[in-house]
Amino acid sequence: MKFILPDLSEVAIQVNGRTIEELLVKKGVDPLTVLLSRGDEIIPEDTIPDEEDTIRIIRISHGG
Amino acid sequence: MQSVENKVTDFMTRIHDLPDTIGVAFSGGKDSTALLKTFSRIKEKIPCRFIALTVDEGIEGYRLDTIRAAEETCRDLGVEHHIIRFSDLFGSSLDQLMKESDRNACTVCGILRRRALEVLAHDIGIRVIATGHNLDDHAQTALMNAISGDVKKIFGGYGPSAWYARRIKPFAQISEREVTLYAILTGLFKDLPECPYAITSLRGEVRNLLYMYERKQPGSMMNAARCEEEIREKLGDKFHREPYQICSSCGWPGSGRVCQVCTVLADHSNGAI
Repeated sequence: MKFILPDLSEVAIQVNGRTIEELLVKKGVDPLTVLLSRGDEIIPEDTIPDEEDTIRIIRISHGG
Repeated sequence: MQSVENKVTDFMTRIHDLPDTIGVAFSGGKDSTALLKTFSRIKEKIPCRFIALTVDEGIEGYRLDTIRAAEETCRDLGVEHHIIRFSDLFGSSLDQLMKESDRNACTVCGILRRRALEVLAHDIGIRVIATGHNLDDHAQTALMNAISGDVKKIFGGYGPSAWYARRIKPFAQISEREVTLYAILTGLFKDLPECPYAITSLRGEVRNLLYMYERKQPGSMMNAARCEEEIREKLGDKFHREPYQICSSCGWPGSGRVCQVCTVLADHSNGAI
C-alpha cells in the first residue's frame, strides 16, 4: 500500500491486515489530525486497505 | 454535507433579531470558507443576506495565499467581499510589529485583528458577525481560559456595548474534522499554509493536549466545550461584568483608560513592543 503524505511525497507500507489508523500511528501521524481519501472517496481510519491501495493523507489545517 | 447544513440552518433560524445583512469573518481558511459555502447553499432558508469580511495582518508566507483563496472563493460564490489591512489601519503589518518584540504574536494579533474587524464592520454598517469557530476551537478556548484563570473570559469579558458587533458561531457544535470534510466534499478545500506564529502558541499546545485526551477518552473535546457552555448558561446572569471604559486615546470602549490596541501600538512607537 502507498501513502501520499500532505507534502505529496509517497511512502510504501505493508498492510498485513492492519487498519489505516494503526498504520498512521506507526508512521507517527495522529489520526485525529488528518482525513483520508482513496481515489475520490473519503474513507474512515478503521478501514483495512488492500496492499495495492493508494491512500492520500489530508492534513487538517488550523486557524480557519 | 446535509448534517452540517441542517445544524447551521437550525442555528440561524433560532436567532432573534437578525439584521438584513450579516458579516462573515472570512480568513480564506477552511472553517470560514466552509461557513461561507454553507450560507450560500442554505441562503433561501436563512432570514438574512451575508457579505465576507477579511482582515489582512500582513503575515509573510501565509496571509497572501489565504487572501487569494478568499478572493477566489468570493468570486466563485458571488459574495460581496471587503478587506481591511493592518498596514492601512495601524500603519504596520503584524510582521513589522513583531520585529524585536517580546510579546506573544498571537496576543498582539488577536487584539489588533478584533479591532480591524470591528472597524470594517462599523464602516459598512454590519452589526452581526458570524465566525467559523468550531467545536474544537471552543474546547481549546475552554482549556485555555482554565489555564489562564481569567474567569471573565468565560462570561464574555465586559458588559454590552453598542460599539461592538454581536458575534454568532454557527459551527460551535460541529467538529473541526466535520467542517474539513464538508469543505472537501463541497470542493472548496485548499491545503493552505498555517500561520507561522501559531507553531509556538498556547492554543497549539492545548490542541495537542486535547487530541491526546480525545484518543484516550473519546468525547473529551466535546465535553470540554460543553462544560464551559454550561457554566456560562447557569452562572452567566450571576457574574458581574465590569462596564467598558472609554479609551482616552482612540475613544473606543476597552478594558482600561487606554485600550489594549492603543497600548500595543504605543509600545511599538516607543520601540518597546
